[in-house]
Amino acid sequence: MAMPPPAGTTTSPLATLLSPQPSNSRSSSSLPEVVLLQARLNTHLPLVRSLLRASLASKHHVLLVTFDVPGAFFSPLVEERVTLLDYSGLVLGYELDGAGKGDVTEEALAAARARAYLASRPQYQSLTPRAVPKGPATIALIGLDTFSQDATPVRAYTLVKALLSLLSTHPTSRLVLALSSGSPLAPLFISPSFSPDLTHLLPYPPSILQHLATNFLTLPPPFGPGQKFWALFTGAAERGEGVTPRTVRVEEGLLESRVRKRGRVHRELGGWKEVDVGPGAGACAWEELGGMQEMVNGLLRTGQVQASTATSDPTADLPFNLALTPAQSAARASVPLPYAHAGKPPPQGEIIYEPDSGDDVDDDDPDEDLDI
Amino acid sequence: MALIANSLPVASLAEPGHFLLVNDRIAAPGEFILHHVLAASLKDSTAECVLVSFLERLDHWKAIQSKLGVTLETYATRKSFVFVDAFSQITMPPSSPRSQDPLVVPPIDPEASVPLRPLFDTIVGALRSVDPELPKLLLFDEVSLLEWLVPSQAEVTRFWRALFALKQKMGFGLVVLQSLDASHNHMIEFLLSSCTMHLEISPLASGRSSAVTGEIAMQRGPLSVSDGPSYKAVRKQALQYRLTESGAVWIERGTGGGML
Repeated sequence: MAMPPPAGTTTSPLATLLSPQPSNSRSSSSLPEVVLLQARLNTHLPLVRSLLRASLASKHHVLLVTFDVPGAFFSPLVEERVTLLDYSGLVLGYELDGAGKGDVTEEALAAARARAYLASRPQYQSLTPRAVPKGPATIALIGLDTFSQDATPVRAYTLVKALLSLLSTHPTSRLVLALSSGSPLAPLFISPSFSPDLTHLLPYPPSILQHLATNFLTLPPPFGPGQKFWALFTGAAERGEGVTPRTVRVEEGLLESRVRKRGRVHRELGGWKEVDVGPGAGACAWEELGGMQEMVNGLLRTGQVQASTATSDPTADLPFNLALTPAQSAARASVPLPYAHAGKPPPQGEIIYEPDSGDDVDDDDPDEDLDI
Repeated sequence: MALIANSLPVASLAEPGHFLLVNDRIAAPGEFILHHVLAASLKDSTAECVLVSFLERLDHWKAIQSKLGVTLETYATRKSFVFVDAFSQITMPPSSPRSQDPLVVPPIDPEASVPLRPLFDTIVGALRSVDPELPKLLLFDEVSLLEWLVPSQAEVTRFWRALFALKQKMGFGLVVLQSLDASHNHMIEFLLSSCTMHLEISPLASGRSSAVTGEIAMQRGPLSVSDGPSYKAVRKQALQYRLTESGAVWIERGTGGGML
């Protein structure tokens, strides 16, 4: 599907997603490609924009549905192949009536709320099969957590599942879901029963790595053991450690990608950066993010972290020699040891026991009369 | 560009769709930012201002604005300044007699199905009373009170979402002051995820000082558009400030500006 990378380099999952796909490719399965983005504080929005730009470059039709981000945020993307459905103005309980002044009596409020809740399908009636034209298509749903808060998580899941089965009838298609960190909907979409193949992208601020480096002296591979790093990183990321409002950047960030393909899961740590005002975010290595090189150099200089994970030889960097030359090892072997029995096998060990007055020693075999 | 006294450039906040979130702490209060924004917008006639105050009466605002050289009564008669009183009645029991003034927010009943709707409607009324052709700025003073009045986090979030939708529809700029110490984490994250510009006011790490009251860090918010005005206002290093009788004096970190 994606253009094959040049020999000798590996492309990150984000780079694969962002590279344009040929429109008449023979994909191995007709299942839509599912991309799940999970981030706190809407830091995934530049990535969403780039993914949609990549879809447009691959000649997809794009249906963009947003439940909380205002539609005006995506206006640079809107062109003739893009349908934007902006539901950010539909807030349960705050529907403005025709006159503009909402009726504040209790009964009217309760009635409005019940109407909105039960009628969420007619409100979203533009979201039908007719909204997605034939041909390669991408559907992006932004702010699903907000929708599931106003309706129910079940309704959110059914909606997405319906859209997914709709996309299966299209040749090459992609479904992009944006959730917030810690969303209760995430396990539903991660489960293989939703989609067997999944690309799960989790953006983080680089300050998490600085937090791990300062407090745990751990850097990502190849600067440290991978298992230890991932164990610490997953916990820290879920708890939001090292993240304060000041550390959140909108121009760059870390990107953890978990790709499940044909039953195997591949996990990788990379980065993303806004390359230019035009194209939007592009993939990069995590070492290229701001402050990362200084952090790595700082830890390597103090010697607490090695530059490679291979079992490091402690005698490698010493200015003096600890090894033996062959002549020296032969000479050592020929030195006679003073107390060894020269050539003869040592005598077998023998126990000599002298019983004293308190011991009860009976030389007879107590099991003589035992008849088994 | 509305300039605040002594060179802290703040991008045109009254541009439709803009949302400036100011986070402060108890040790470093941020009300002075609101005062400066209000004074600059009214004096330069860049926007009509609607101020929703949860903590202070109009007299307090009048007194401090007069020190900055702004007479609020003049602007109020011209309908360039509207004061929404979310202080006197909002915490009263729901059964208490309500004021007839449309700009006083009636008591909030946390048990109601949409408890913050009366506040929302009062704000809509205030916004409709100013000239629709001119740019408008809606300022909120210390919103953590809402989380304590209404226990349901979903309802407070819905109020804000409705306000953001209104902001897109009516086209006004929004400035909100929120205390990091008094607000719950999820509300801090919610407002932060919806802002286009973020100012964080914090006390000095080394403790109180007579020369410097605190420092300000400014950065783009997640919903900012990369070629918008907020992009240019972001600074790499925090700016320090000192509060004086006539407002705040800005000091570049590590320099003696404003003191020597």
